Amino acid sequence: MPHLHHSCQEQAALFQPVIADIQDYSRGLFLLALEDLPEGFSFKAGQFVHIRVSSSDHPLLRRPISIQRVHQGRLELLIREVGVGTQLLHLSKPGDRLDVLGPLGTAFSPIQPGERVLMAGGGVGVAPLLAVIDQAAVGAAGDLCYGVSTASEIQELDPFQRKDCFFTFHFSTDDGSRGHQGFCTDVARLLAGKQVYNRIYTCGPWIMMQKVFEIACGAGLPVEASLEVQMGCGLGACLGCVYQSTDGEFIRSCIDGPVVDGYTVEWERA
Amino acid sequence: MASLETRIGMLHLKNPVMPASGTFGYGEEFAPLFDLNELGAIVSKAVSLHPRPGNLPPRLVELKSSLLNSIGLQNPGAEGFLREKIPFLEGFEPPLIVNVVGNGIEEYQEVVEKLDECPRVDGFEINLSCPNVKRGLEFGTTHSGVERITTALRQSTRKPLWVKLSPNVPDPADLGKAAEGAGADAIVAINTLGGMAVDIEKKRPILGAQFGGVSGPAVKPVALKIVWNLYKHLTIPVIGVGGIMNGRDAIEFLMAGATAVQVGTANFINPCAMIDILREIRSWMDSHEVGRLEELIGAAHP
Ligand SMILES: Cc1cc2nc3c(=O)[nH]c(=O)nc-3n(C[C@H](O)[C@H](O)[C@H](O)COP(=O)(O)OP(=O)(O)OC[C@H]3O[C@@H](n4cnc5c(N)ncnc54)[C@H](O)[C@@H]3O)c2cc1C
Ligand SMILES: Cc1cc2nc3c(=O)[nH]c(=O)nc-3n(C[C@H](O)[C@H](O)[C@H](O)COP(=O)(O)O)c2cc1C
Ligand code: FES
Repeated sequence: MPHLHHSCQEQAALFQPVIADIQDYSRGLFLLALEDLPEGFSFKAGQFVHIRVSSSDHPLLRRPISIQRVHQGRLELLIREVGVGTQLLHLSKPGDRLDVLGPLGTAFSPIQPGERVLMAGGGVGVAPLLAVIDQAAVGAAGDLCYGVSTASEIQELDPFQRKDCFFTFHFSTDDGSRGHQGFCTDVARLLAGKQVYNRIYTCGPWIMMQKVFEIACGAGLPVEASLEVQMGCGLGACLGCVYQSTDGEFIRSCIDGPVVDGYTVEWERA
Repeated sequence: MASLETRIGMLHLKNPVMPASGTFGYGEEFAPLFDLNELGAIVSKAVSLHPRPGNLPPRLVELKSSLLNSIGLQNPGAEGFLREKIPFLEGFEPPLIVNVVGNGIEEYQEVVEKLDECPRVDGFEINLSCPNVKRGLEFGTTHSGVERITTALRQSTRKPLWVKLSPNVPDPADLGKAAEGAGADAIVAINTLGGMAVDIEKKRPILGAQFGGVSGPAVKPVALKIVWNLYKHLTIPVIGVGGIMNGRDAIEFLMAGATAVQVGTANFINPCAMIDILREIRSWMDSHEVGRLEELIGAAHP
């Protein structure tokens, strides 16, 4: 198992970027681009930002969102509106300022030249996996199984078509409007049986990642998963965001995660 | 410019703002974001004798203007604290107050005695009230219980001893009197209010531990009233905590009778909340021509 990147909370900054653009994909799914970042802002694929969505007391807590890309001074986030916090983000306007803490947490292992990685992302879970592709070394290779409910939720992928790498996108939709009709894990299972990979990466709903973990076990491959747990501080201080490890310990997903070795996670949770 | 100095028994603080236990870890996580030397004091996460794993997740539920938590006092234990956390804290000046928990009076005593020898530890905050631990509550709920544990701990240390009260009792001021009578140097009020939340789809409590403690803006009026009553009935200082989000909230606590304030949940929303609160207190005092913090303490009492 390659050593997961150690968390970088010491890089965390509190900053107030400006919303540069909000691009709508499908109902409730949007790409938020922020600019006026701190000098030299950078991140490692898998890390997230913790965003304050309201200046009042409701909603109280920040919202964690994975970073999809930093490009030409713009921080890009792929967000789905699921509740009041993400709705407030969606309703904000270009020119508004947000209150952002980050980058936070652990990252996926970078893909080295000559390596091939299988990735499975569900919905907005694809964001950190696209970041992995964006940051892969020249000559890296992989397959990204990209699952959504319907074709209109698939975002503009041109920015992630790298000429100097060998990545292939495999779509799956619930309604069959693009690619395989069914789960992205169906495609991942097939690929894992046919191709030789160095590792598997996944991000998405818990049940989906649990299936990916089973695929990895079956194929005898290392697997890195980006967990989604309710967060408080995002800094490692409150111990509110823990997941249970296979040796029964409670590990903070904000600082020792969100990207963790899948074999250390107790997937069967109560 | 206004002086923010304040005194809690024999401890002189350069200002009245400090973190509430459990919301600031042991300080490390916030050090990249602001200078910890700006704080009036540093209050640690709870320390027990042996390491504690804490409660099953989920541990946090966000509510309207409040937060429900059931962390369960996860901590590295007294030895772990001395070994892993003290070296970092030695790099900073503000007095260090260690929040102590135990399963019985003996455990509290053992923790205090172990840490008493450490020169970096400037005092203890006795957590009588954490609703997340099954046996934590019983000492904190009766006059004689508080008296017994305070008397015992008073014998274990000469350093400042603060007793932190639970709001989940009929008469917190009476417990404050018990602690004062038994030699406590200050009372800290309040800890979280007992609460729960239900997942109606799963038909189960949301928290892994079923019950937790409520904190944040919604508990402020409850905390203020308890601080008010403690100030009225005690002579030792009261440290106010509960729902402080900004400088105005902190000033309310000072006027209700708090000699210093602790900031908890606000640290999660704004990691620099304590620094902002300090700045806001200072500028309020300047604009209202209040020269010394003392003038505010208890000012709302007729
Ligand atoms: C490390 C990390 C990275 C994340 N990255 C992203 C990202 O890149 N893009 C993104 O859109 N989201 C991401 N999330 C999830 C995102 O943080 C939540 O969707 C968000 O906090 C919900 O806030 P809300 O106020 O809109 O919803 P709430 O009001 O908190 O919840 C409203 C309802 O939606 C449900 N709900 C909450 N979260 C989800 C969810 N994720 N999916 C489905 N239902 C949910 C709740 O149970 C509730 O019923 C990430 C989470 C973590 C921990
Ligand atoms: C996540 C969390 C962990 C806490 N842990 C402790 C603790 O270890 N010991 C303690 O005495 N109080 C603990 N508390 C209570 C706080 O110190 C404080 O009394 C309470 O949260 C009210 O203040 P607030 O509204 O500003 O958060 C904790 C509170 C929270 C939210
Ligand atoms: S969110 Fe506070 S420790 Fe992880």
